[in-house]
Parts: sequence; structure tokens; C-alpha cells
Amino acid sequence: MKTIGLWIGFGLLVLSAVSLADAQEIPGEPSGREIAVMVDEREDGDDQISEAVWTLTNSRGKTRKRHTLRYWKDYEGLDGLSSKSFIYFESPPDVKDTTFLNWSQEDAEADDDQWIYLPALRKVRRIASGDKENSFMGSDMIYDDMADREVEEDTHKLLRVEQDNGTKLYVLESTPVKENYIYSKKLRWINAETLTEPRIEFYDRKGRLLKILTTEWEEIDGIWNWKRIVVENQLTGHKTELDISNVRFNQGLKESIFTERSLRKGAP
Amino acid sequence: MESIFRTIIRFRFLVIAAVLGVTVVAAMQLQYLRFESDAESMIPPNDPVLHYNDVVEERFGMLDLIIVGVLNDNPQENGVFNPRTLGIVKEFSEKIALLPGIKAVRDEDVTSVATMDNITGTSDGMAVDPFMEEPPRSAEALAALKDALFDNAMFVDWVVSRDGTGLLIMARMESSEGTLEGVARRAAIYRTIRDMIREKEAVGVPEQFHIAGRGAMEVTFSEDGRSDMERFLPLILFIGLGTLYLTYRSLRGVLLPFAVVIISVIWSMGLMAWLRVPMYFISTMMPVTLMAIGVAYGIHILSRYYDEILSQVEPDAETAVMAAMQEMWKPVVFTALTTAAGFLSFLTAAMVPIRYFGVFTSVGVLAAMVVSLTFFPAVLSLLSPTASRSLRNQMNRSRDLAATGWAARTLSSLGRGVARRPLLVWSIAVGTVLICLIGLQRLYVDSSWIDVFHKQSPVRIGDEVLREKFQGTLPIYVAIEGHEPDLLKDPNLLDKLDRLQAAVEQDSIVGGSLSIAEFIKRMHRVMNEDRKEMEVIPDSRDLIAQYLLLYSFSGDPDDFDEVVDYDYQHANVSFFLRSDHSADIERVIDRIQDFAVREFGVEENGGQAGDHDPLTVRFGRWVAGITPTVIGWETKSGFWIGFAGQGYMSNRFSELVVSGQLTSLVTSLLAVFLLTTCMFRSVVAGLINIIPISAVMVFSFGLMGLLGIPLEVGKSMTASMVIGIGIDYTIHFLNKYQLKTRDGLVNPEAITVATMATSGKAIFFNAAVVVGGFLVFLTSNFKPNFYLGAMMALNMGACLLASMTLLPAILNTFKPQFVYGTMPSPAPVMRTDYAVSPLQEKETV
Repeated sequence: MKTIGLWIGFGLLVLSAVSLADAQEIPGEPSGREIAVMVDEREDGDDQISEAVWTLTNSRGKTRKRHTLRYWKDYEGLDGLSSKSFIYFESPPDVKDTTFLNWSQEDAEADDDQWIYLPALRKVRRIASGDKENSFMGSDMIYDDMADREVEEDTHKLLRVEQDNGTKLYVLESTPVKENYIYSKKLRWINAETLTEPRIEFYDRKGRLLKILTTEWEEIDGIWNWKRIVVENQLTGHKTELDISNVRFNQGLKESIFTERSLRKGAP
Repeated sequence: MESIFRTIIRFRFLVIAAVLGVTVVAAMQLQYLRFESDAESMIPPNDPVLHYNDVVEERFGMLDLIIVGVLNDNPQENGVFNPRTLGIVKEFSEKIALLPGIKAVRDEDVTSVATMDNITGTSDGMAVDPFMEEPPRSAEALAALKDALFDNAMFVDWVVSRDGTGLLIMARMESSEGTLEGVARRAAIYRTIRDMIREKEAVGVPEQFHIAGRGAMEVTFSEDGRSDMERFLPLILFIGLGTLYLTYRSLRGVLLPFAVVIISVIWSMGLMAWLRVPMYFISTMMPVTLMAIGVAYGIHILSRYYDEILSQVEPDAETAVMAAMQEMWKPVVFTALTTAAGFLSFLTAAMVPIRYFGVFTSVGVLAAMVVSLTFFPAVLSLLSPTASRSLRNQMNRSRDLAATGWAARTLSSLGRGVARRPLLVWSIAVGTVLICLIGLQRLYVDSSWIDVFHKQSPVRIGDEVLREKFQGTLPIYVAIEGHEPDLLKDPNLLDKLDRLQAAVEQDSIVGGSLSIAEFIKRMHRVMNEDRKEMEVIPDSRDLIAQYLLLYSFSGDPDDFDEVVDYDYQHANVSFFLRSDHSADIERVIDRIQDFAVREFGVEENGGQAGDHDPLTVRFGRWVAGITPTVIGWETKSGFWIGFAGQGYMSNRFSELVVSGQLTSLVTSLLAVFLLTTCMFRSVVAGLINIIPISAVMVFSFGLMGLLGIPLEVGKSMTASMVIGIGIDYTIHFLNKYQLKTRDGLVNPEAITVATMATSGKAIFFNAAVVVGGFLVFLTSNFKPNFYLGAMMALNMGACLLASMTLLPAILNTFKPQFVYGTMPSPAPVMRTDYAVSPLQEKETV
């Protein structure tokens, strides 16, 4: 009996050693999961105001251009919310004053609360739509791509470390836990120093490269933020360009901005 | 000529070796023969109407659909609203979304009740929820699902049938991009879905399944085409060999003509392969057609050869062959030239595959001629000159060819009858032609895409069931092409599009329609607390723009591509038809165009439709009285309106084929007239040759008119083939008739009987093989082939009859100079090879 117990103990030891090695894919580097957590915890401010110019181009070269203002506030789990955002349309002229409010839920399974104000209809309408795999504002990104995705929703593996002009990049493979998710995996290039992500590749359920997202970053008030995002859908040829400017952090945005009432008033 | 055949016989081994050598070389090329199954190949390059369809499909990102219908009409199970049926639809939708070649990133990209969202208006906004995540189990939940579906008019007849007994799954297929892998991938989609269905059927689920759509058609097309080929060749071999054996009761009589045919098929197909011309669907008819035609030369030569053997007491191989060749080389060359001309007239066709079919069939015909004049006598001269014992006995008894063999006896008495009662022949012929001329007035053009398939074909049944139960499978597109962006935000225009849909949907064959107007109406209702009366186009342009913005948030960026383009400059209104008969399609198009002319106006100087079509199409259209297909016109409302879609294409297609074939009919008639005029060195001869064949044409198309059978692609193709092949009979007959007068016969009855007993017999067997050969097409999986076979068989029979009754009646009545010479008739010229002809003995006695 004793020997059996010994053998079991030895087996457990070997097993834990193996799983330890599995957790830390490259010796001397943090594990994939650890990197994902670090990226998730990267400082992004308490609130933010920014302007954006959206250029959507389809495969036939036709474009839609929109100019928006965005107000964003981090809720960090308060009231079960992760964040609230308010988007105001500056142009094109026929949709000016259209506003869009989103309360993002902390729980990945729960539906976000959304409202839209259409000035020509003169009504605020609540939109009950839960699908986080839906396109974000008609772009090539889905809601899930826009952050708010929890670390636990994927398993992360550090594939390799790359050097790009003296910058150290982690290449992370994130595979969704949930079956039948829109992506079969993501490859993420992560700047080891700033923890920003200059490039993400999305693979569809049939294993084909679906989208490539490239991002330029800038540091404002010690916070790294998007300056320009380009997403190219490799299957449809559709392209989204998002140019972000006038970024201001920690402006002490009031809660009243993120309410139905403020939707009618337009930009605060 | 005599010396040429003497040379051939002297160097017969060399000739045989040369012919076989060329055949081996050609056969080696066959490995490069490629089969082109892409239906696109039938579309003529540079055709403006068909090209415009590509423009519309590309602009609106239209992809081919594969459609699966799941039906359950059991009321005990609440139709399709039970957990099992819904579960199958969910399972299939999810599996199909994952297939390579299906344009789907998510399950939602496949359309079905299991994947779609239900957008409803609520008191304070709108809700977007899936119709079902999992198939509901409780009776209430099932009833709620049913209510939700039927509450939205857009879904009824589309994802669910009006009677609640059918659900559709629709998936878009990526383009094959013309690559072999692409084509194979699309075929694999269909086969995988078929296997999924078979798996369900194997476990005995009560649901019925149907697959339709372009993908299903493509695969069935190539599978059925292959099975046709595999069945045709043995069948025609059997029929051909059987007929020949019954004719000659000798091995050489069977094998030699067939050797000619096989060699000529190898030559022409080898040439095709060498020139890298692919086999098209229509080319599959080529070997069979060549078999039916190519044996003719051998039959006529053999017939004369046996007549010679029977006429001689101690026949000698070389003498018999020489006699046969000397007399037959001319009609063989003539008939081959006219047949080739008939097929060459297919060059006037707009479709590339039809042109190639014409060219390579005429190459095959000429090859058969060459082989019949070289290889054939060379081999024949090697064989001992014997005829079947029973024929020889009969000949010995009667000393008369006309009494030797059942065919000769029957045909001689027919000839006698025709010669004795010319009035009867004339009145029957003239009467038939007159009646059929009336029928000709009633002839109309109607073709159907899906009717190409056999009635029992699963793809045809599937299409019929689905278009009966749902909104229809055949699209017609109306493209609104603005000159600047944002045209489609105009409430006035959207309202007119909405009314256009309502007006056209009045027609019972229009199962449904779709446009941006419908989405705007629906959105307006949803955003106004789901009030029914709000399902109208709002009159604020900005509100429409804001709805469009909201819509652009709701799905993928290219979700709306099929109804409106990215900058709202172009829109597409789709109509779905339940019938694909051109007559129905035309009626719907008329409705659409009437509305468009009335509501949008027509800018002048738009040019006449069909102006740029080739002369051959314009001529044929004029003959048939077909109105040309319009692509579209500049309206007075600030945009161009255009028409496309498969329904529109299939109309254009039949316009091109039918008018092209009518031109080719006229061309081949003209060519045959000129050729026979030259051959017989007489215009009268040319005329006499084309009279019987023209009568057959009137008969064949007139009969169709009388019986109410519409003219379509397959039938229209028979015309020039009938002319090219049928003229052979009159040429052979006329040639023999002429020879008989030159041999000194003066009595029309005697000439007729003598011609019937010899050439008549050969013509009869020749026609029997041709008719039998084309009857093989009756087993085809494709309706056009079936009709083509039936028409060819009927028409060749009619040609046979006309050249044996009408032609002698004409000759006997008018005694044309080119046959009888100037009176008085010349003294009989005794030719060595006829010196002991029993017929002549009899006549001169």
C-alpha cells in the first residue's frame, strides 16, 4: 500500500510539473494568461472624451464617412456595469444630432442597455439587443472587439516573442472557451513594455483569416490610447478606418451625461 | 475519279494504315479533352443584356443561393411547429454555415427561422431577439414562435410557408471564380447537404426535404450530363448495329459503316482536344449525332456494292467495289457537303458552345466522308464478294433487284403507287402543308430554365414544390441607378418603389418582392410602438437617413448590399417568380415596365433596344416576330432604370437561341440550295431539292403550332440539322433517278420503281439508323435533348417520306430538263458496269 501511495505522490508531482511547464510557455517570460491579465489591467483612465472620424469603405471602393464625439466613463463593476458611453453624431448633416447611449454590463452573458435618439423622429428609443457578436456601429469591429471582453472568456497561450525595431512584442494566441464563437482564435501582438496591441488577427470558425486589425497608439497624460485603428475584412474586402483625436482623460464626467434625458439635448 | 479509286485499291494496305495511323494520333489527343460544366459558358461574350446582369449582380453583391426546404404537413404535429422539425432546421442551418464555400462567418449568415433575429417594436423602443435559441418544447412557446413569424409579412412565404407546413434554409455560396476547385467546392456543398438529408431519411423522420437553387442545378446538370453520355453510346451502338445487321445480314455490313463512324468521331474529338476546345454540355450530343449521320455513307456504298454483287453471276471484289465507288462517290461527297453546311450554319449562333458543336460536327461529317471514300473501299476490296444466301436465292429466282429483299419489294410497290397516283400524293402533300401553315401562325416561343430537367429529377421537383409553397425562386431585378449619392433617401422615390412592388405583386406568379422601401416601412412601424398604420414610408428625408444609419448599426456592413448600395446611389428591387416560363416572365416584365414608363418617364434619344445585336440575331428576331429585350433606359426622374436577374436572362437567352437558329435555318436552306444547284448544274434541281425539305420544315413547326407545343432552345436547333441531313435523301434519290434516265429508262413509273428498289432501299436503311439514333435522346435526363431527339426522329421520318413520295411526284409530273434531258430522250448509253443489269434487260425486252 505504501508503495502505491508513493507512486501516486510521484505521479502527482510529475503532473504538476507538466502543468506548470504548460502554464509558462516560454521560460523566463510571463505566461499567456498573465500577459492577458496585464493587458486587461492596463491603465485606461476613469473617463474619456474623444472625437472620431469613421471611414467605412466597401469592396467596390464606396465609402461612408461619419464624424462623432464620444464620452466614456469607467464604472468598474459599479451597479454591475463595466462602463457607459455616449456617442453623438456631428455629421453627415442628415443624421446630425443623432445620439447613442450604451451601458455595458460587467456580466458577459447579460445584455447591454442601449438607447438611441433620432432627431427627425424626436423620440428616444430603447434598443434591446444582446448580441455582442454584432457589428459595432456598422464597422468591421464587433462589440466584443471594442474591449470589455473578460480574460476568462478565452484561454491564452504565448506563442513566441518577436522583436520589431527594438520593440519587444509578445505574440499571444487567444482561443475562446465558448463553443461556436464567431472567432476560432485571435493572434494578438502585444508590446511588452506599454502593453498596447498594435496588431490583432482574427480567424473565423472555418479557420480562415477573417480580419486584421492594426492600431497606432499615442500616450496622453500617461495613458496609452488609440490614435488610429484600421480593420480590414479579408473575406469581404470591407475596411474600417477610425481616426481618433482631441482625446482628454479624467475630465470628471458627470453621471447625468449618460442618461436618456441628455440624449435629446445633444452633445453636452 | 476511276483512277483515284483504282489507286486506292492498289495501295489499299497503305491507305488502311494511313487512316488507322491518323486515328491513333487523334485518339492520343483525347486525353487532353476537358469537360466544361459551368453554365456560364453558354452566355455569349459581349452580349449587352447578359453583361448588364453581371453588372447588377456585382454591384449588389448578389451570390447564388442554395435553398433547403423542410416540410411537414402533419396537422397533429402542428405542421413544422414542433420541436423535431425545428430541431432539424437548426441542425441543418448550423452545419451548412460551417461548410467550406458557404459565405458565412456566423450561423446568422445562413437564413432560417433558427438563425434569424426578430425585430419588434415595443412601447419604449425596439427589441432584437432570435426567433428561437433552442427549439421550443411547450405548446405555448411553439404557438408564440408561430405568431412572431406570421406577424412580420416579410418572413411569410420566405422563411416560412403561408400554410405553416414548410420552413426554408437559405445560404449564399461563394463564387467559383471560374476555377476547378471553386466548381468542385460548390458541388461538394450540394452533395454534403444531400447526404445530411439522406441521413435523416434513413432514420425515418416524417419530414420531406427538397434542395433547390443554382448550386443544386449545377451539380444535377453535370451528374445527369455524364449519365446521359454513359447511356447514349451503348444504346446507339446497339440500335445502329442492330439495324445494320437486319439490313445486310453480314458482319461487314455491320462493322464497316461503324468503323467509319468511330474513326470520324475520334478524328473530330481528337481535333477538338488538340485545339484545346472543351466539351460543353451540348457537345455531348456530338458523338451520337455523328454516329447517326456517319453510317449513311457506308450504307449507300454498301447498298450499291451488294446490288452489284447480286447482279453479277460471278462477282469479283474489285469490280463490285469499283462499280459502287464510281456511282456513289458523287452523292457521298454531295450529301456530306450539304450536311456539313447544315451544321456550319450553327456559326450564326450567339452561344459559343453551339458554334463549336456545329463546327466539330461538320468536321466529323467530312471526316466520315473521307474515310468512306478511302478506308472503306480499301477494306471492302479485301473481302470476298458474297451476299447473304437468301438474298442471292431471291435474286436468282426473280432476276430483279426490285423483288429481292423485303425492303426492296415494299419500296418498289410504294414507288409504283406514287407513280400511278400522282394526284393523291400531290393532294396529301399540299393539304398537309396548307394545314401546317395555319399551325405556323400559332407557333410561339416559350422556354423554361427548370424544365430542362426531367420531371422526376429531384432538383426539378424541389424547385416546383418550393416555388409553389414559398415566394418563388426565379428573380427579376429592377436596378435604380442614381447619378449621385443619397438618391435613395428620397421619400417620394421610395414610395414609388413601394407602389411598384404592390402593382407587380398583383400578378399571381409573383410570389414576393424585396426593396429598401420595405425595410424603411418596417423600421418606421417598429420605431412607432409597432403600430400597423405606421408601416408606410415616412415623408421626412432626414428620418429616412437616420433609419438607414440605425440599420447600418444592426448588422454586418454589407448586410444591405442586395437592396441598396453603400452610398445610397443605387437600389435594387427584386421580384421573385413562381414560374420560369418565358411567357409568364414577359407578362411580369411588361407590368414592371409599364409602371416604370408611367411613373418615372422615359428620356428621349435612349436608342432602340437590340440595335447592337448581331445581324443574325436581328434577322431571326424579325422572322419570328420577337420583341428585343431592353436593358433599361434613362428616366425623367434623375436616374437610369435597368432590368436583370435570372428571369430576365432566360428570356434573353431564348431570344438569342431561337432567333439565331431561325437565321441558321434560312442560311442552311440557302446553302443547300446553292450546293445542289452546283451539283446538278441546274437551278431547277436546286429548287426541287429544297421543296421536300421545306415542306418538312413547315410540317414540323406547323405541327408544333397546331398541337400548342411551344418552340424552345432544343427544338429550334433541330431545323438546320434536319435540313443538312434530310437533304441527303433527296440528293441520293435525285442522283439515282437521273442515272436511271441516263441508262435509258423513259417511263416515269419504271424509273421510280428502279430508283426505289436501289437508292430508295439505301435511303430507307439510312433513315432508319438516323431515326433510331436520335430516338436514343428520348432517354436523356434533359428535356431539350428529349425534344431534340423526338423532333429529329419525326422530321427525319418525314424527310424520308417526302423524298420517296413528294419528290418522285414532282419529277414525274414536271419531267425537269436536268433529269430527262431535252426531248427526245437520248439513246440508251450502255455502260460496261451496267451491261448485264437485270433491270435494264427487263426494260429493254
